[in-house]
Amino acid sequence: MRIALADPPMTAILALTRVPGFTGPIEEGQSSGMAGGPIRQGGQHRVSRGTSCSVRLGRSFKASPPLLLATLVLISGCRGPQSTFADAGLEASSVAALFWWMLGGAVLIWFFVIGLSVYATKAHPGAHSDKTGLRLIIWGGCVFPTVVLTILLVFGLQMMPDFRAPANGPRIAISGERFWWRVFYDSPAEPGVARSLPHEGIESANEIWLPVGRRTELLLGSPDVIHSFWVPAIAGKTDTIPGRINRLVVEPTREGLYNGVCAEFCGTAHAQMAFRVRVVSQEDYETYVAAQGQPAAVLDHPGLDAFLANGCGACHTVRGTEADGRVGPDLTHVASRETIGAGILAMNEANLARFISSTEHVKPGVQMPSFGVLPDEEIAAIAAWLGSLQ
Amino acid sequence: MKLNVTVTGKRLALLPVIAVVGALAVSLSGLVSIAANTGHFGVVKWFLGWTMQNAVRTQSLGISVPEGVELSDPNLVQRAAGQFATGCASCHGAPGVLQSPVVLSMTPAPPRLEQQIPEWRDRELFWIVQHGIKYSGMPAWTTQDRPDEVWAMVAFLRALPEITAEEYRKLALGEAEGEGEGAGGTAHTDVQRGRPAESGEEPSGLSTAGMSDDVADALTNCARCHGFDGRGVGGGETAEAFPNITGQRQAYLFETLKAFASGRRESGIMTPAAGVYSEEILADLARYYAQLPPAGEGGESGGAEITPPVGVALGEEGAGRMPRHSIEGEAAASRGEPTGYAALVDPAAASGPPYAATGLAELGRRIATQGLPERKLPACESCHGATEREKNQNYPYIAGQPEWFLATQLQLFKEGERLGTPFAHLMEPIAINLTEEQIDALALYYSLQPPGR
Repeated sequence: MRIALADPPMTAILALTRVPGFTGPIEEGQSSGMAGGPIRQGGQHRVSRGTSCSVRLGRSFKASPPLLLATLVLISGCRGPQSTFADAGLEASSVAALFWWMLGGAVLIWFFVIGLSVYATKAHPGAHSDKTGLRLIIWGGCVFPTVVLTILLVFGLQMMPDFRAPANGPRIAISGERFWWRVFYDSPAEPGVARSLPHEGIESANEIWLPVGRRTELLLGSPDVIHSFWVPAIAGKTDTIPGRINRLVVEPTREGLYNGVCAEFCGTAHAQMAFRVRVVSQEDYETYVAAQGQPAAVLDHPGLDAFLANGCGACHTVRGTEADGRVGPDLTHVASRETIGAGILAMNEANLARFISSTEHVKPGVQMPSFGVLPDEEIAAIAAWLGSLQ
Repeated sequence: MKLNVTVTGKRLALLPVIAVVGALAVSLSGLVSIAANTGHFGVVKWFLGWTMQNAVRTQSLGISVPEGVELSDPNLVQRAAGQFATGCASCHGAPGVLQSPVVLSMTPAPPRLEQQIPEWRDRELFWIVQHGIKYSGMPAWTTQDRPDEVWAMVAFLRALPEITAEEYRKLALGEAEGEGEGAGGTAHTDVQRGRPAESGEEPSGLSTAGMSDDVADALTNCARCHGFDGRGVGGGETAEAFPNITGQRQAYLFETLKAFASGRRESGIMTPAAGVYSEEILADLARYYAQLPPAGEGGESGGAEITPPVGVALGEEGAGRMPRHSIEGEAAASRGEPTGYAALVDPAAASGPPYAATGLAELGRRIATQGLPERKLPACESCHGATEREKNQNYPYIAGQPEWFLATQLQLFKEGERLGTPFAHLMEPIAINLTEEQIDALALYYSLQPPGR
C-alpha cells in the first residue's frame, strides 16, 4: 500500500508568508545536450546547497519582523534538493507522511493537555473527587496513550513491507571513503560480511544516477571508518561499515537532481563529503551507465602527459591511459559530474585547476595532497584535459 | 655578649626580600668573578660537576638502547665518524688530533673523550649528545627528532677509545689507505682540495673542471662521508652506513641540500654540514653529484642476499628502533617461503604472524609495484620508478638505499616531520597509512634492489 503524501500544513505556511523561491529540486539549467545531461553552473564557485538564503517578504504581511524571520529560517530547510519533504522517493514520502500525522496528533494532544490545565486552574479550581481523579488517570494516563501508540505502531508497521519489497532495478555498489563516495554500476557485490566491496563494475565517484520508478539496490561498504549514506529526498540513512556490506533499496519517484551527504562523523572533512543523485528515466540511465563504461574521451593531450609525469596515476584511474591507481576517485569521465571534490566546487576548468593546486585549502582534511608546487602551465594543462573528459 | 632576636612572622617574611636585594647588590657591584682564566673555586667545581652528573643520571632514566641494536655495529660507528670530526673534534680532540690550547683555556675545559667515555652509561651518553650541557659550552644536537643519529654517535663514542689515529683519518676524514699519502704531490693537493686524484680511480665522466676552490673545499667535506663517487665511504661491513646520492637528480639534490641547510629537513648531521654553505655552493655540489653515473652495480633486480638487519632506524613515538623489527628474532634474516599459518595470511594484513624475511620482501614488492589500494597505499613505483623519474626530476630514486635509511624516512613522513623538497609533502598522506610492518617491508624490498634502479 502506498501513502500518498500531500503536506497541506507546509503549503499553508508557504502561502501565508508568500515566499518565492521554495521550489522542488535544483533548478535545471536551460542547456544540456542529452536529456537529463549534466548542468554547468557557469561562474558560480561554491555550489549552494538547499535553497536561496535571500528571501523577500510580502508587504501585506503584518507579523513582527523578527518572528517572521525566525519562522522563515526554520522552514527554509524544508524544501529543496536536500529535504526529507522533497517527496522524491517512496521511503522519504512515507517518512514525511508519518511525520505529518504525528505532528498533527501531537498538536491535538498539546491543546488537550493545555486545555486540561486551564480547566483545572481557572474553570474548576479546587479539589476533585477521588473518583474523578482515578477516572482521569485510567483514561488519560493508560487507555489514551496505549490507543495512540498502538495506532502509530500499526501505521508504521504497515509501511514496512513496501520498503522491504525486492529490488527490480539495477544494483549499484557505493563505498564511503574518507572523504568521498566510490560508485560501481553493475556491481557483482553481495550483502553480508565482506573484507571490502569488490572493485568490479563500472566505476565512478560522487554522483549516483538512479532510474525513476525502479527499486534500485544500493550495496554500501567502507574501507576505512563508518560513514552514513543519506539522500534525504529519497530515503532514510544507512551506515557504511568497514568489514560488511549493507543493503538499501531505494525507489525514486520523481526525476531531478538531489543532494546526498555523509551523516556519520568520519573525520575532518566529514561536512564536505557530499554527493549528487540524479534521478532519470530508465533509458537515460542506461545511456549514462553505458557512457560511463567507455574509456576516456581524450587520450592525446599535454595534460595527460603532465598527469602521468607527476604521478597522479598512482591514486587515480583514467581508463584508456596508464593511470590505474585505485586509491582515489576514478577520473575517466570526471567532467560529466556536477561537482569536484565530493560536492565542494562546481565542475569547470578553473575550479579543477583550483582543486589541483590548493586541494587542502579548498577541502580541509582531504586525503589528496596539494599540487601547487607544479608549474602553473602544467596545472592548467591537467585541468584542461580533465575538463574535457566528458 | 648576648644577642636577643625575636623571631616574628613579619621578620621571617622579610628574609627572602633581603636575600634577593643582597644578591642584586652583589651582582650590581660588578665584583663577581666571571673570568675563565681562574677556573672554578674547588668546592664550586665539585658542586657543579656533581650536579651535572646527577642530572644526567636522573634525566636519562627513560632512555635505553633500542632492542636489537648493537652499538658495536661498524655501520653506526662509520655513520657518526664524519659528524664527530665536524662537530666534536674541534673541542674534544680526536685520535691523532690534539686539542687546541685555545680550547683548553675554556672553563670548564672540554675533556678528551677517550678517558671519559667508559665512565658513562649508554643512556647517559645519549642524553648528553642529544641535549648538550648548559653553561659548559657543550651544544645540543641540532634537532631533537633524530634519535637514530644520536645512537650512531653513541656507538662512535663507545668505539672511540680503541680507534687509532690512522683508523680515525679513514673513518672521519675519508682518507683511504693509498689515497692521499701514496699519490704524488699534485694528486695529494687535489684530493685535499676536493678534486679526485687523477690516477684513474675516479668514476668516468666526472667533471670538476671550473670548480672554484670554495666549492672544492665544500666537496671535500661532503666526500668525507659520501665519497667523491657519492656512494658513501666505507664498504664491506660498513657498506650500509650512508645513503647513496650518486646520480640523484640535480633538482632533487639542490632542494634537499637547501632544506637541510635551513633545518626544514631535520638531521643533526646534514644540517651542520650543509648549513655553512651559500646556495651557490650548494647548487654546485648538487650539480657535481647529479652528473655522476647512477650506481647500477647491484646486479639483477631483487637478487641481493638478505642479511641480518644493521644500523638503527627511527621508530614509533620518535624512538630509535632496529630496522625489520616487526618480524622477530631469527626470522628477520631467514630466507624461504613463509610456512604454516604465515603462508595462509594475506601479506596485506596490517599485522600478521611473523614472516620469514622473504615474505616481508614480497610484501614490500607488492606495495612498491601494485600498492595496496584498500589500505590507501598507491604503488611507490608510480613516482619512484625509473621511467616516472625521467619525467619529473624532483622525484628521487630510492632503490638500493640502506634499509635503516628508508625505514627512517618513511617513519618521519608518517609523523609529518619529514620536510624537504617542495614535493616532500606528497608523501605524508601516503605514509600516514603505513603500518610498522609495511615500513619494514618496503625498506627491505628497496634495500635489496640495485642502487639507482
